[in-house]
Amino acid sequence: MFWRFVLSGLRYRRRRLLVTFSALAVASALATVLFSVYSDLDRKLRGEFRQNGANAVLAPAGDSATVPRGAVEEAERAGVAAAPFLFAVGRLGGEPVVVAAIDFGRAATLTGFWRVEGERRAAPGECLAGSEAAKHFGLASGQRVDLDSAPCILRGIVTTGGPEDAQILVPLGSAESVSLIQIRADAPRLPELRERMARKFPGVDLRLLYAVTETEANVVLKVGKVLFLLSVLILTITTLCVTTNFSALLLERRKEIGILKAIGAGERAIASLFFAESLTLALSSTFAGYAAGLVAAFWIGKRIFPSASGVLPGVDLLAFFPVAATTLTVAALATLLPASRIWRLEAAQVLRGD
Amino acid sequence: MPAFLELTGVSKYYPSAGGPPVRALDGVNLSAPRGEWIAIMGPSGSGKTTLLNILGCLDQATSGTVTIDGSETGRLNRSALARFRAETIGFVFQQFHLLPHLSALENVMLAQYFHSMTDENEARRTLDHVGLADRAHHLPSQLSGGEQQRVSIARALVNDPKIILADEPTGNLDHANKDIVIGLLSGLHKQGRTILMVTHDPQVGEFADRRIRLDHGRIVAA
Amino acid sequence: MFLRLVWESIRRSPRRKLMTVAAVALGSAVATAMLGVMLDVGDRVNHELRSLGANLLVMPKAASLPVEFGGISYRPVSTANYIPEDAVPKIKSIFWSLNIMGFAPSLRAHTRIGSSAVQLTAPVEGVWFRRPVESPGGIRTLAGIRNFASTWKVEGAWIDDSERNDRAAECMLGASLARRLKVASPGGTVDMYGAPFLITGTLDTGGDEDDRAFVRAEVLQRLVNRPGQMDAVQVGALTKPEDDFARRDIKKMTPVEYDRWYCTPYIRSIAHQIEEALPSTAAKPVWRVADSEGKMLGKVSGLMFLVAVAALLSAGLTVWSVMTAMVLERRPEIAIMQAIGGGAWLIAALFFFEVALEGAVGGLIGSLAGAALIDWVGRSAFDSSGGIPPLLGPMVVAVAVIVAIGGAANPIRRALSMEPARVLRGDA
Repeated sequence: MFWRFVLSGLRYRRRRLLVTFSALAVASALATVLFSVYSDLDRKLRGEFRQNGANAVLAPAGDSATVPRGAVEEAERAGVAAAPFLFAVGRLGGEPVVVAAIDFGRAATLTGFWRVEGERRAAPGECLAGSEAAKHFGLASGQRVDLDSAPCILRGIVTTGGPEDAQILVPLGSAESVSLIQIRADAPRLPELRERMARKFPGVDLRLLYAVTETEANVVLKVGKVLFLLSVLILTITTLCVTTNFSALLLERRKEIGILKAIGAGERAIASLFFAESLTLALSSTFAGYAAGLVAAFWIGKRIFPSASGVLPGVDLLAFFPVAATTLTVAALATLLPASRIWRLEAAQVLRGD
Repeated sequence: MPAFLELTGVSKYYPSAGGPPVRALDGVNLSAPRGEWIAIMGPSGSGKTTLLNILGCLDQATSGTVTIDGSETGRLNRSALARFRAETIGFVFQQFHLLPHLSALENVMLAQYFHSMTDENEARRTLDHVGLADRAHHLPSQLSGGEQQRVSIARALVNDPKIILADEPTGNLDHANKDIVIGLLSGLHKQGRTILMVTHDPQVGEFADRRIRLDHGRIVAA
Repeated sequence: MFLRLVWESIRRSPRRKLMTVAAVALGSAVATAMLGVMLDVGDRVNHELRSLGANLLVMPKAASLPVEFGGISYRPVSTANYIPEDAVPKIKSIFWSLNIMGFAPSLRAHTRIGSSAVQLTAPVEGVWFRRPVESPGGIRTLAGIRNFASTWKVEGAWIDDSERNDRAAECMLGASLARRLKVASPGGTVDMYGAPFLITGTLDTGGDEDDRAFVRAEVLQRLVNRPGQMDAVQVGALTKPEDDFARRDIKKMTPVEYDRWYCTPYIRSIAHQIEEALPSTAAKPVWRVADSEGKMLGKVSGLMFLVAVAALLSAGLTVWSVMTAMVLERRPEIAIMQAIGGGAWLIAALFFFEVALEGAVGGLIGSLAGAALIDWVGRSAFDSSGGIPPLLGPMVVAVAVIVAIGGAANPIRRALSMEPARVLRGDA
């Protein structure tokens, strides 16, 4: 009888309950989305930051002038992106020019900011030129560049606003040691990496580009804070919305409560009926909201965090538990708070017939 | 040894804004043996419904004592009152007061549920008794006023209460339905149940064993 | 009579009205806060991103091709082209001068640097550390490398160059250079240009600066005999991330498009304006920085937009649900008005007027509360209160009225379409 009462009550008032249902469903959809976004915001943001270029450099320390190339593999074993660069002065048309030998394959993730006309990478026998070097020497794509060390065919012109602009960029051959290695590591990995490198390569110094690491950390921290504050705000207002909804609902059913009292129902029995109604409603809207939230989180993940990996980027399936807990708590509170009305309600007054 | 039903000096005051309290009941004394059918009559505002609500433990008297079958209702706490209503009293209202989302059968079963446990067959038999076996699965909105009142009587009966409290049970009904309802109440009376019925219809009042008249909260004629 | 009905309705059930007003206030407070924060956060984050370093580099136009790596130059620095030091403050007088957050000129040279233990060749930069300057437009500002040093690790003290002094024998060393020279810093001395320099402190940035020595600009100008000359100016500017429009070729723009481009703080338009202010220079965007900025700003704006949508959704829902409950509760009232012959339009007008009134009051309270919320979020996350767009208040009140009416429209329509008899009988 209990469930018969509860379910038929829900069915009978379905149009009215649609409001409450959608309020709860939107609440849990919002909770799902916010939880999905917030749950590992720093990891996701860091994933995006990987495209910002290097945040550390392995440079020669002390008296050594070069970095052993083996450090690249070592860094990669530590799970970070690393790209070796070897600089030398070459001669072109009798003038000196800096020739940068680059492992284009590895450097690709670290050089996303390059503005390139033509190709982004050069195969053996090919090269790229910085925009100023190209202007200075009058080079154009497809042309042969008569570098003294090894002539090459120009495949592209690079503009960075940095030193690359004045260099000729060639593929790195089999050199055993390089001038420096650019690193992009997630911030928490850096101390561990520094230790590991110091142990294996004493002649090498891991320099953090503080401007990059600290700015990124700062952005993660502040954005996380704003997002958290706003999420709290949103969940608060949603809770209030649901609470007012449930109190209004209870207020509307004064007469029903009066009847139940007249036919001998105790206050607690009445409260448990209403409670069950709320929780049923909350549970069903949680499922609906969760499903909608997952879709939204997936879409947002793809749009805002395209670098996120995984089957469903940006989606946290585990979000269901906190979301369900939140929604059910909200619904339970929203029923319990106005439930004192059940006790206070004078059946004689509501049944008077007006 | 008090009578089955005993009211001693029962008064009920409602506070009113700015004036002296309204006296809905003013020192009512009444006693009745088990099985008596009493009609409470009087003009509107005379306190009839208040008296009924106090008897049904829906309202508390401001002063005086109400004893029903040996229990003084003023001394019962909330949960004991609820039990008392479920086991001892059956209510029949002028406006029927059925739950709109439950079928006729379910409305009857709901009273069983609050009493002890539901028994669908018994609920069906009770509906059959009031002549509504074929209407068991209709919602109140699909029933006529007379049918709704019969469902409400079935609901009052299903727990086998000692007292039936009926507030203008025929007030909203046409002649034919009025006769049916009166017939049902007479049948209950014959089974030995105590009935208190508020009515302003002298014809209906004639069926009772005794008529008391209330005016301004006092019994003016018995 | 109309106003009397509205007034009576409000007077009769103040609690219910209060609930409606509270809901609208809550909704519009969140909406205000969201819009305020959304408009504001981009700006704040943009400021934070300035710590990435200079995003523009200004060089003399026909400078020779530098042949330099690892802090060592393989060709004598050409001195034919330079930026006059006096002209540098003009950067602060361009159209977007308010977006110029910092600039630092430098003069570059290489020399032998010696300590008691080691002798080596290293680049020396003559810079402004932090110098008060006044632009031709009369804007006073502090310029110099300390504009870009918020993330640098400094041991010892910065050189105080607020007064010119071309005899001050002080220098600062990059951390890596100091290690190679094996000098005690701060407090030790190094020899450059045949004279001892006191090391006031060392800098650790992780970048090129680590291998350099820094002295006052006027000192290096005297030592290399280039008075009043500078080789480069680093500029940090607040910019709008590049979009498709920003990437278009300005030579192919119509005059209207060019004006729009010129008046938008894209990095290239700022570079263009600097080139106008400092003739015969080339201002180049530093894409490593500018790109990172654009990307991070894009992510943050995306996130904020998402949260704003979520907040507006929940605010709208609150108002809608309260309005629905309010109207449903008053169905009997509507039915009675219909029964005594009230036309649908009149009844609707009555309700809408009441709702609009509540919306306006709620919106007003809400926008004030929202302003407080913006301030709170700003303080909690950015340690400073934010600016509140002045038009936000009236806008939010207007939106609150519209949302309140919109929220009430459907339930009122439904209540009006119901048969009064059913409502009055209590069946509905």
